[in-house]
Amino acid sequence: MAERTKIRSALAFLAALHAAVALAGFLAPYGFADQRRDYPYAPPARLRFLDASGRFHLRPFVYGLAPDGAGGYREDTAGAYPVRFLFHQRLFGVDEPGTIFLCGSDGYGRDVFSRVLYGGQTSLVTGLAAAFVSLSLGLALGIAAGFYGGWLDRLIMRGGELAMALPWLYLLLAVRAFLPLHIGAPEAFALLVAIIGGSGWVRPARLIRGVALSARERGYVEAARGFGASDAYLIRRHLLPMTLGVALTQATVLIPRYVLAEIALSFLGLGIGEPAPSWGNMLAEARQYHALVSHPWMLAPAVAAFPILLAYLILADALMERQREGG
Amino acid sequence: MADDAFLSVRGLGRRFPRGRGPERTAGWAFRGVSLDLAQGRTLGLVGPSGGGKSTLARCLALYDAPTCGEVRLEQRSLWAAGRRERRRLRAEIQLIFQQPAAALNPRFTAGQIVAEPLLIQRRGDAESQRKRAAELMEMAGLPAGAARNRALEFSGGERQRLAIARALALDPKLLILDESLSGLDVSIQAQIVNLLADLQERLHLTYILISHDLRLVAGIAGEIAVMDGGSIVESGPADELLARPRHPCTRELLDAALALTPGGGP
Repeated sequence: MAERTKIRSALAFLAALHAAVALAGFLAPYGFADQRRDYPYAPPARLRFLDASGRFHLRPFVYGLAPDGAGGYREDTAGAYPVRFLFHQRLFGVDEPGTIFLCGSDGYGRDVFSRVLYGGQTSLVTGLAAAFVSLSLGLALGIAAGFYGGWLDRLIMRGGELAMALPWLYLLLAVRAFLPLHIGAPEAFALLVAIIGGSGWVRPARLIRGVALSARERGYVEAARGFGASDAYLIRRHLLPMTLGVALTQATVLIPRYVLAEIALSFLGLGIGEPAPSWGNMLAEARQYHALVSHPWMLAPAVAAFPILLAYLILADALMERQREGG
Repeated sequence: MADDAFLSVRGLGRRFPRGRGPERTAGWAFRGVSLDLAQGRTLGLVGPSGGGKSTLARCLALYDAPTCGEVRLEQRSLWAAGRRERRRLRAEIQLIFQQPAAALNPRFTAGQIVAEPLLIQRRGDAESQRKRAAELMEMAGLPAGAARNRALEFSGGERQRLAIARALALDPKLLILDESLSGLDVSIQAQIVNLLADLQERLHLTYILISHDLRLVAGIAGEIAVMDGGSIVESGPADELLARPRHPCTRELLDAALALTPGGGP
């Protein structure tokens, strides 16, 4: 029972966060490439309800920003900009020349909050797509190995060991070295998905092979064979449903790992390039010590990634626990 | 040993590989098995475990290929048949496994389980398959509303009834029951035996009943063959064989059966 509530709340939480990221075009006040060059490294905006004379406003507002002379900003109480909702086809925004940087801005004066939302699209879709690639490969190869056995099984399993032994990071570096310096975002994305997803099929394949191996010996599979069932029928009707639980659990383990892999690779400059944001390439900007000390809001992508990864891991844990209980 | 027997087995044997690599040796699961069976009759195949009974059953039911010998069902040779012909023959011989619980997919409903052979052999549409499944379940003495229940919700006896209902789906002529009654308690065993007798009469079925329990087989089978060490050591009409057992193995099985009968021993 406790598992069920855990699974449900983790799922609801993940659904909400994914929806927020998917709706970045609406929820974010700025586009991911919109620059306000006059406001680099602006601190997070403060939403205010009380004005200078102490009067309460139902509609929150922000003050304009003015340089404080020391490289930072101070609030300019002369200009107040009320927050407008459903503004220019976005959920909220303020009139020019006011700015609303909820999580501050980066070195080009781009809104970090908006870029975290848009960057989540890159990072999460990479994780999901790579997990899909891994699981599809794992399902196909694992079932082939477990169901048919013999030389095919040995071939696939030795191939898996070989794949595990490959240094994938260096392979990615080598592949990137052969490609032009700046490749387009779609190509970079495809390469990332192929490398991350292609490297991770071995573990799911092994687990699914185990399920297929035991399925082959089940009485009901034997019985169906006795009625003249083809291999395709046995795999579709009996084997695939049995592997579903393992596949689902593996998905919840793989997705956060792959999101993290995208972050790591983009951090190293091997992922999606600027100006398209991803959590990894945004964090790369915060690599310098001065950024961490003076502009801690640049770590926002890490703060955004953390609860998502945690929720996935809790979900994986609860699913595994349920599987153990279910036998 | 008439040539026009319903089922005739001649010199059947199956080797199985033992071990791997250089020390691989082949043993015989059974060899030189010959028997005849008339339609509508029941043959009891008894013997200690490891005697090759189950492997023989698998060869007769077209699961495993024999190494040598021949099986004929109504003059048609089973293993000489082509793929398509064998698929058709497969429907006529059904094997019911040792553990009915393992032979039923826990994810399926009872209706799906019973209709599965029809689905595999592509007989009729979904609606007619459902109707036929309901009919079969009723024939096997299962409650009408049980079609939606999952296999795990049934008791041991009911699972055996489900397995029997499924085996009947393709209108088989020969039913091989491999230790199918062993795991059940005595009263349920009796119910299943009655069901089998009833079905035999209605559908003119032929049975091969495999068991290590001579007493159980003696009550059902008209003929009995005793199998030990991979070959048939003694066979004949049940009453004759029980009254005058000649082979030591038969005597041993008989003693074991009597010892279990109340009043028959300590």
